[in-house]
Amino acid sequence: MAANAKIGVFLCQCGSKIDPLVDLQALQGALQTDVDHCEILPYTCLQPGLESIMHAVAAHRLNRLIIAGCESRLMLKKFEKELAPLDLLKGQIDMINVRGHIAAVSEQTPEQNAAKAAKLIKAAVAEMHVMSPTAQIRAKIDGPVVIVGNGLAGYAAAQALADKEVDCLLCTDTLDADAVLRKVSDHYPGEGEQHPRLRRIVTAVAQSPRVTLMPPSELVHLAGVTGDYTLTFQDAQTGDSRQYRAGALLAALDAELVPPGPQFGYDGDSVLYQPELERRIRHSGTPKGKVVFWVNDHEIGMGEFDQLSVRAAWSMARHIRETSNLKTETIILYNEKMPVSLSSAQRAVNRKLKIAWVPYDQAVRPMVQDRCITFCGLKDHVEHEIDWDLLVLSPLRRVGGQALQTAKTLGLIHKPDRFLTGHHAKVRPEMVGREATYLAGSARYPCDLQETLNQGRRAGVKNAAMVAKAGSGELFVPRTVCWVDPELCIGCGQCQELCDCGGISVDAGAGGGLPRVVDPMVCTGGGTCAAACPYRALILQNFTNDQREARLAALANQLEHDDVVVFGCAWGGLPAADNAGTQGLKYDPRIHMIGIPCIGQLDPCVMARAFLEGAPGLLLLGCLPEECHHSYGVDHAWNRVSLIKKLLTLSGFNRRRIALAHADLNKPEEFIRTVESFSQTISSLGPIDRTAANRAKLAAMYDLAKNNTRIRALLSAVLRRPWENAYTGDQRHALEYDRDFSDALVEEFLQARLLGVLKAEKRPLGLTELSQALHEEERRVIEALMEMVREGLIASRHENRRPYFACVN
Amino acid sequence: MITLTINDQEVKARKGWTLLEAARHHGVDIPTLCYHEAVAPSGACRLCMVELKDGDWSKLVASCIYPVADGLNVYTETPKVQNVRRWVLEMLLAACPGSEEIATLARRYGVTTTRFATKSANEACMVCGLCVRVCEEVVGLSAIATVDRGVHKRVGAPYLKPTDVCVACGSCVTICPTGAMAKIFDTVRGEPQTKLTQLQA
Amino acid sequence: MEQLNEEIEQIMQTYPGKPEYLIFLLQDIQDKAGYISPESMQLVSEHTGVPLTQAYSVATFYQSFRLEPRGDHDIRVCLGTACHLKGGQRITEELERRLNVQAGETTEDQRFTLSTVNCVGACALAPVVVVDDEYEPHVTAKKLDRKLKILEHEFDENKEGGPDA
Repeated sequence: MAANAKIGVFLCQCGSKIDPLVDLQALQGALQTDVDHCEILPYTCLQPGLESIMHAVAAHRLNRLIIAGCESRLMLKKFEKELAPLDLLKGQIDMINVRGHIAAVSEQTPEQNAAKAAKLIKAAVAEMHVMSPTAQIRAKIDGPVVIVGNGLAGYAAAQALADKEVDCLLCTDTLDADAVLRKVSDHYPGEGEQHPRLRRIVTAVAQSPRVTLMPPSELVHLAGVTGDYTLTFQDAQTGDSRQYRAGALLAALDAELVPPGPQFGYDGDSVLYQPELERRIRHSGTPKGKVVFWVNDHEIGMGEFDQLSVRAAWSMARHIRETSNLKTETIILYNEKMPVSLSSAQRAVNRKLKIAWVPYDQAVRPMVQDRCITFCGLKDHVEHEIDWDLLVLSPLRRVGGQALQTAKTLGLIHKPDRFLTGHHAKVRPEMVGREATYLAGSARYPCDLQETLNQGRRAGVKNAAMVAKAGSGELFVPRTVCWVDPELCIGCGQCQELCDCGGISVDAGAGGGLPRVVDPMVCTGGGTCAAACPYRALILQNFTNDQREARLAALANQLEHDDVVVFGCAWGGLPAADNAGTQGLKYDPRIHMIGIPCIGQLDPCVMARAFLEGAPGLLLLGCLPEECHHSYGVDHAWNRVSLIKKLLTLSGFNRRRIALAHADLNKPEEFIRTVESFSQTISSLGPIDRTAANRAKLAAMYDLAKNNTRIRALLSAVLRRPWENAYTGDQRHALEYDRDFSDALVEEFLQARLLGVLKAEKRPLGLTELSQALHEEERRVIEALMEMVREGLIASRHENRRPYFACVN
Repeated sequence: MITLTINDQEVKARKGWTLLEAARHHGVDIPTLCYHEAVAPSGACRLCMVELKDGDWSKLVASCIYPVADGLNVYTETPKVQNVRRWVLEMLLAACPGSEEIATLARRYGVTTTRFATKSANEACMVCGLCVRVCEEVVGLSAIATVDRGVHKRVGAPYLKPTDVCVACGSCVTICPTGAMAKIFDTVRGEPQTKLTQLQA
Repeated sequence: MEQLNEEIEQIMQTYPGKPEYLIFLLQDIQDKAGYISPESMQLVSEHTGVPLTQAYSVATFYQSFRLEPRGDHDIRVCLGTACHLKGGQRITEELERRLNVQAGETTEDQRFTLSTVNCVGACALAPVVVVDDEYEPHVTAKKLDRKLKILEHEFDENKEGGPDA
C-alpha cells in the first residue's frame, strides 16, 4: 500500500464534447468524498487548465492525478511533460477517456453517463491508492563499449564510436587491413567495390587511440545489465579466462557461408561455391575455360537471398571478363523467378562485356552433370544444356561456428536454424533497447557488405548517443520496466523463456547464478513475465499487478448485473474504442473499458478477482495473435483465459463469462460488433448468484490463480503455441496437454476449496462435513486431504478413530 | 495577469496563452480543424480566425497561434469572421468530398454546396498536418510526412510504402479530423516493403 | 557503378552531420549519380540526423530532385514556341509510342529517358530533339528512329535472355 497517496481528480468539460452530455456536477459530487481534490475545468489540457491543475497540485500537495478527459494515447504525454516540474512522474498521472468511451458513444442521460464515469474514475482512484511510484533513476554507463563477435560490422562500429570520442574494446582477430581483406570473401563474396571502404575503416580503427584491441578469444559468459556488464573471455589455446567490464555491448556477427548439398554436385574442385571462386581467383588468377554461375538460391531453399547471390555472381563474372580480356566465357544461369535488378550503368557494362544471362523455367530443376548442366528453356519448354569448365553455386547461409556460440552466450538465439533477427516488440521509441543498437552484421539477416558496414556504423552511433546521454545525466531508466525481487525468485527461468525483448538475464553471484535480473534499458514493459512467474517474483514497476487488481476489484464491485468489463490493449482494443469515440458511433453502455498496454500482462489472478468482486463478464480485447506488439502477448493471454474458463466450469459457472477477442484499431464498427456480441452473451447469462457457496468457489479460484505455484508453473511452462518447437521437450499433443492440465487443475482446485472452507470455519472439520460443504464425493475429498497433509498445508489428527483436519498454525 | 476583451466581455489571461485558449477557457466557442491540444498549433486551416479591433482599424488573425496581449479586443462572430469561415468551409467541401466530418461542420455554419471544382469523391484529406505532428511530437517516430507539393501534396510513409518505422499505434487515425487517415492507414502500417530503417535520436 | 558507392560515401564526409546540410547533400548526390536512390536517402538521413520520412518529404517537394534512375541516354524534346509550331508535340507522341513510355519516364530496360523541355535556344533548327547533349536539327520520326537504332545496338547484345531481354 502506498503511504499518503493524495489524489486529485480533474473533470474536463471539453467545450461541448463532455459537459452537456455528462453531468459533471453530479460526477464531482460522487467523487468528492473519495479524493483529496476534485475540480471541474473548461479544458484541462490548454494552458489555462494546466495552470489551474498546477495550482491545485501545489496547494493540496497532490501526488496522484486522474484526468477525466479524452484519449490518453494522445494526451497523456502533454500532461506528463507539463507537470513533470511538480515531481509527477509516469504512472502518477492517469487519464480516463470520458469523452470517447462515454460521452460520444452513449445515448443515455447525462446523469447515467455521470454514474458510469464515476465507476471508472473510482476504480482508477483505487488503483492510485495502491500505486507506489519508483524513483527516477539516471542510467550510468560504467565502462567502454565492447564489440564482440569478430564480424566485419565491428570495425565500422569501432570507427563510429571513435569518431564520437567513445572508448571501445574491439574483439577481433586482426587490425591488419590486408589480412582482413583476404578473408572478406568467406562471408561476402563478390563485393570488390566495398573493399576500399573496408580498408579505410580498418586502417582508421587501427590508428585510433580510442579503440583497444582485445586478443582473440571466445566469449564464454555475460553477466550484468546495460551500463554495467561483466564479460568473461576464454583463450582458446591456453584456456586462460579474463574478465572485462563494459558499459555497453555490441555484437558484430557475420553469417556463415557453406557449400550447398551434394545433390548440386559440389566437389570443391570443378564445382565450387561463390566464396571459393573468389579465393581461387586471388591465389591462381583468372580461370581459363568457361565459367558458369548457377544462382540456385531458390533450389537450396534460400530464395529470399537470391539478390545477394545474383549481385555477387555478376560482380565476379564481370571481374573475370575484364581481367581475361573477354577471353574467358561467363554465363549466369538463373531461376526465372528472380528479378535481376542492375542499375542502368551496370546494364551498359553488361552489354559491353557480353556477360550472358540465361533464365530457366522454375518448374524444372536444372541437373548438374559432368562438365554440363541441363535446364528447361523458358520459351520452347525444351531441355537445353550448357557446358562448363567451372560451375559456381550459391552459398548456403546460416548462423554457425563461433558466431553461433557468441550469439548463444549473449542470449540472442530466438529460434535455432534461423537468423538472429527476432520477432520484435513494436512499441514507442521511449522503450529503449532496439535490436539495431546491439546487433549488426549478416548473421542478423543476410545482407551485403555495404549494409553490414552501415549496420555497424548505426550501432556505433546509437551506442555513442546513449553514452553521451548518460554522461550528461539525461539518460533515464524507463519507468515501465520489470523488476525481479531476488528474495522471491527461485531461478526457474520461465520468465527468460517467455520474454520477447531479451531483457532478462542471470545474476551471477554467491549461490551460483540463480535469481534473474531485468535489464531496464532493454525491457519493453510487455509484462507477460510478471504475469507468468509462479512465485510472483516479477513486478512491472509503476503498473503492477496489485494496482491492476485494485482497479478491477473496485470497478467490479460497482457493476450492475449485466455490465461487462473490457480490457483493451493499447494497440488493438483501446485505440479501436477511442476511434469509435472520435467517430461518435453509439454502442451498448453496459460496456466498461479499461486500457492496458498488452493483454499479455494480465495475471490470471486479476481475472479471477473480477469475478470474485461481482463482475458478470470479462473480455480481453487485444490484437491478432500474429500482430501482437509484444510478440506473444495474445498467445499467453489465451492460455491464462483458458485457465479461468476451466475454473469457471469446475465451479459450475458458465465458461463463456470470460473471453478473448481481437480488434483492429481502424475498424471501430467491428469493435462495436465484438463488444456488443459479448455483452449479449453476458446479458443472457445474468450475474453469478452471490450465494455463500458460490462466493467460496470464486474465492478459491482467486486463491489458486494467485498463490498456487504448481498451477502457475504448469501454465507458464506451456505458454507457447502448440506448433512452436523452439524448446526441446516442448512439442505437445494438443489433446493430451489439455487433459493433463485439466487433471492437475481438478486436484488443485479441490484443495484450494478445502483450504478455503477450513480457513473460513477456523476449527477442525471432519471428512463428512467437508465433503458435504463442497458437495463432493468423500473418496475424492479424502485423497485431496491426505495430499495436503503430506505437503504440510493442513494438519490432521484422529478423534474416535475419525480424522479431523485443520489449517496449520 | 493580462486583460483583454472577447466579444466585449472582459477576460483575464496569462502570458503564454493563445487567443483560442483564452476564449475556450471562458466558454467562447471557436471552430477549428487543424488544431489539436496534444500537438503544437500550426494555423493551417484558417477556420479559427477572429477579428481584432482597435477603433477603425481591424485585422483577422488565427486565434490558435496568436498570443494574448493587454488591451486586445477580440471578436469571434463578426461578419468578416463569418465570411472567412464560410469561404474556408466551401473550399474544404471541394477539397474533401469524402469527409463526413467536414460536411457536418460546414452544415453547422450554413454551408452546404461549393462552387469550386471538387476532387475525387473519396478524397478526405485536407493536409492539415495533424497526423504528421502527432507522429513526430507525441509518438516520437516521424513515420509519416507530407510528400510532393501543391495540388499533389499528400501524406505518406517514405516511398509511400509501409516501413518498419511505423509501430501501428493509430495515433494518426485518432487525431485525424476528417477521417482521411483511416482510409490510407493501411499504406503506412503493414509488413515493411522496403529495407530502409530509421535512426531514432 | 562500383565507384558510385565510394563516391557517395565520400560526399557524406564532406559535410558535418547536421540537419541543415540535408539539401546540400541531396544536391551533390544527384549531381554524382543522376538521382537519389533509396539507399542514398537512408545514408543522408543517418548522417544528418533527419528522420528518413522528412528527408523523403524534402526530396519530393523539390522538383529538381529525381528519385528514379535516369536511362543511359537522355532524350529531350523541345516544346518551345518554334518547335511546338513545327510539330514538337507530334514528335513527342511518336517517341512515346516508339519507346513505350510517357514523357518524363524511363524505359524499362533503362536505356532511354524521354522528357519534354522548354526552349533550348536553337529555334532555327526547329523541331529540335536533344539526345545526350547532341542537338538533332529538323528531326523527323524516321531520322530519330535511325538514331535510336544506333544507340540500341551500341554493343552487340546476347540473344538468349537476361536483364535486357
